[in-house]
Amino acid sequence: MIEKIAAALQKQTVLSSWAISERQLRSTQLYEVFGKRESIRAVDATTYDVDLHVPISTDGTDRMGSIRIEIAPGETGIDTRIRRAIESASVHGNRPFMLTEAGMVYPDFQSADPDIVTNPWQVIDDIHESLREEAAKAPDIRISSTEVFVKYLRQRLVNSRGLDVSQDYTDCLWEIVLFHGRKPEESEFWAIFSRPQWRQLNIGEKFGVFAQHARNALIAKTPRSGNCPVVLTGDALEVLYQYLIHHASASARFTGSSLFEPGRPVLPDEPQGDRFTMYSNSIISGGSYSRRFDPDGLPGTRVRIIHDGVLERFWATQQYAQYLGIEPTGAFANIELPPGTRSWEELLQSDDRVILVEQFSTFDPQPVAGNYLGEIRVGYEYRADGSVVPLRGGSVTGNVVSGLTNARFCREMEIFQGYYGPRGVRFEEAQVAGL
Amino acid sequence: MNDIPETIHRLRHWLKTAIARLETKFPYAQASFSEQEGLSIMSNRQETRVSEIPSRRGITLAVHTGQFWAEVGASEVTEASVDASVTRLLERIPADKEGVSIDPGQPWSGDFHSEYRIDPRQIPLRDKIERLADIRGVLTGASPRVAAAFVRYGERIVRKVYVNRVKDLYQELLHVSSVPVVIVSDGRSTKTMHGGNGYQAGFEKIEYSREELETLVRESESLLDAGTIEPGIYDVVGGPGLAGVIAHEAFGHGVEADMFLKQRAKAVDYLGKPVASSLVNMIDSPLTKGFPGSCFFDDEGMPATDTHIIENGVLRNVLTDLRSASELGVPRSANGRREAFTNKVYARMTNTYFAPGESTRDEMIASVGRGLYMPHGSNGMEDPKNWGIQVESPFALEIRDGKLTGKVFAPVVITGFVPDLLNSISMVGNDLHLEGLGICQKGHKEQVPVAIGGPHLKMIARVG
Repeated sequence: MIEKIAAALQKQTVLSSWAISERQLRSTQLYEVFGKRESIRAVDATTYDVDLHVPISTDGTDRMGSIRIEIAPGETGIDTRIRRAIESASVHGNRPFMLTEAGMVYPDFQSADPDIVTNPWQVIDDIHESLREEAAKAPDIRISSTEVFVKYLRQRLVNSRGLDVSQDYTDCLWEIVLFHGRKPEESEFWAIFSRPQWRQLNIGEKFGVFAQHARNALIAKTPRSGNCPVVLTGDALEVLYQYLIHHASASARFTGSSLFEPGRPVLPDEPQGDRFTMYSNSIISGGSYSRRFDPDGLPGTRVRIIHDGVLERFWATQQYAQYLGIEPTGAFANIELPPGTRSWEELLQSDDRVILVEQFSTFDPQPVAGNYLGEIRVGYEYRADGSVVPLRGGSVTGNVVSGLTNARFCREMEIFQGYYGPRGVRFEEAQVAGL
Repeated sequence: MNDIPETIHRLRHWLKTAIARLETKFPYAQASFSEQEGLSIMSNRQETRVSEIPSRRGITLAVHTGQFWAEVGASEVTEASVDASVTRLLERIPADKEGVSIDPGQPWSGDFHSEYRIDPRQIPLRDKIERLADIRGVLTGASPRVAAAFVRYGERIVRKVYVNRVKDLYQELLHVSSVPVVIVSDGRSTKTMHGGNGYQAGFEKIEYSREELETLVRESESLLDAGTIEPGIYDVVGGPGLAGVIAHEAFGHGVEADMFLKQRAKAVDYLGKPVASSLVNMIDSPLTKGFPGSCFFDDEGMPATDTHIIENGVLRNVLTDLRSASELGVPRSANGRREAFTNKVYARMTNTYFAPGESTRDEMIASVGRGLYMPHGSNGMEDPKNWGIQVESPFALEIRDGKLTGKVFAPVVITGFVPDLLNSISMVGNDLHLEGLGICQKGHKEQVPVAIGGPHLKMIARVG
């Protein structure tokens, strides 16, 4: 099919460039409630995204009209679809840019799980067998429900500059709900996370941690209000630094919404804590966004964006790199931060109290402003006397910019979805709303 | 204008044939098709991007084996693909004809189209781009502190087919949305706000007054000087956006009946009992026309009906899909929804909102000695087991002695226990506004479009 679309595009001499992205998905899904099979699903999906570019002139300036269309598998009348798309693309132009050229050197990186590729149902059986083994060790824990989605994706990207690259990747998503105790004194822990390979789910270790969160939820208290140090860990770290990623992007620079300047500190005030360095890394084993190439076909790589608190370079896709006249880095992939100097235990020490947030109810920091807030779903208060009190409820509010101005990173490294870096970061001051 | 594509006619025939074949083995079978077609446009000062939206086109064939559901989804929509999916189910899935029986519902067939005045497909692309540029121009010109402004526009026709042994249904729903976004900066920090709304309607909804857009810029600028709120318990007057997030996130997810099967719903303890102040009425309404959750039938062929969730403070009804209604033995509501053929059906909300009362916004503010006015909601998260609350708002305005002082706090979040919050509602506004930009997730996945809203509400809340 991709060849058929390419042939139809090549006939259109008015096009200055084009690209086709073929994506084939095979998804295998199992849903269980209290150990009973509720539903099984198998999905096969193929899509063809086609980017078309035509040269146009606006007020004597060379521009490029663009549009993205989707062509269905087996679709007839492709020539007509393309002609209509060209008409639409010709209506408005942006600054021209060149697509990625052929001949790039790609990393020898494969993240696909061979078990998922060859036998996804066996993977699902293996996951449930692991789960049953772990559950048998914890008779005080009941599994309410589980959902397992095992995905295998194949992508091929072809463009008018001769680029023709392919990659396979897999994803295994696991959602689980655990109960502890009996009504009316019953607590719950809910988790959802994914890894490229099913063994990276690390079900044995994770089940133990989740079970303990469920037990602690039964005795958890609401924190008292006030400002105090807060340690953030887990999936929150994947999204915590969205402010840095937004302001360090070439597209934000181009559209005027970035505060960052190359060679200048990214924080307005001198940091009192650890300085930080940030990479975009698309070739980490286990990272949710690890790929051989990005959506433009640029090779996967590890590139330093911020060094010791100073913007080293904007991360830039093929298009925005040309707009700014800089080297493309590819789309931002997994965020990587180097290890800090303190131990995890040191992050949790204080003369008064430190609040560790293991899980927010939801956590969605603002990329533009850097504000963050969230209700504590699973937390712990570490007190000066060495006691630890499980927390639930109340909220933590702050701003990433002020947080990073006085932050400490631990040296233990972990992967959380699309984050690879210190297991925790401590912001010396955040606002806690509770009792 | 309301012609049904010939491909849809052919597809319905294939699906009916598939159902007949599948029910030679399985006690129950159903089939569906969905696709969307439309455009998205993003316009900022430097560039305009135009894309067709992803079609999400595909079929789902589902059987109940007597013990569980088995489904096959495929993006290839051909007779051969339907046949292959049928064969796959027949050959690989065991049946238990002595198992659970599924009610196919009342016989029903029909074709349905949502209403609109101006078909966006008839508006030239150039005109749409110019409309967005005009909106952007007002935002950019409203203040020198505007660092960037952009507008997102979307239009999509959603086509859905549902077939089982007694039903043969088709609906075509036209959606439009627009989102003006402004980013302001004082050189040291940047803040942002967005406006806009989403509708099941036509291009007539892509209209903004200058005042609306200038208010958006003023609110964004106020965030540059916003202070940090002192955490505590406050009298809060919440606008329709905040009311909507409470209705949807804090409460609505907890009455989705699949949560009852998983024993995750605290609501089970409150059915038939007071859960809110007697002033409170809450509804889930796919019949409310013109919003993203509106439909004629759900994704399991159930005719759209309104569900009165809370009546005068008492929890009356829950939201069901076919499976949860069957297993719980409660009436079906039209809440069986799936993201696309790639996803399973769950019990999901549609247009969920508090019903209006009798007070005005000004009366509510005037009644507050020391408190906060939160005109907007922004985000939230469900906690059906514990009915904990996370409801976020981009900012809060201080109220002292019945008046707004002009002091702004940002960001702010309400936490607490759902029944405590709902029982604290002491005034319900006589206004009603629904917001249709929301994409609802079940946990952190399974996205479906919804609307949320309500009137202004006065309540007592923990704010941080």
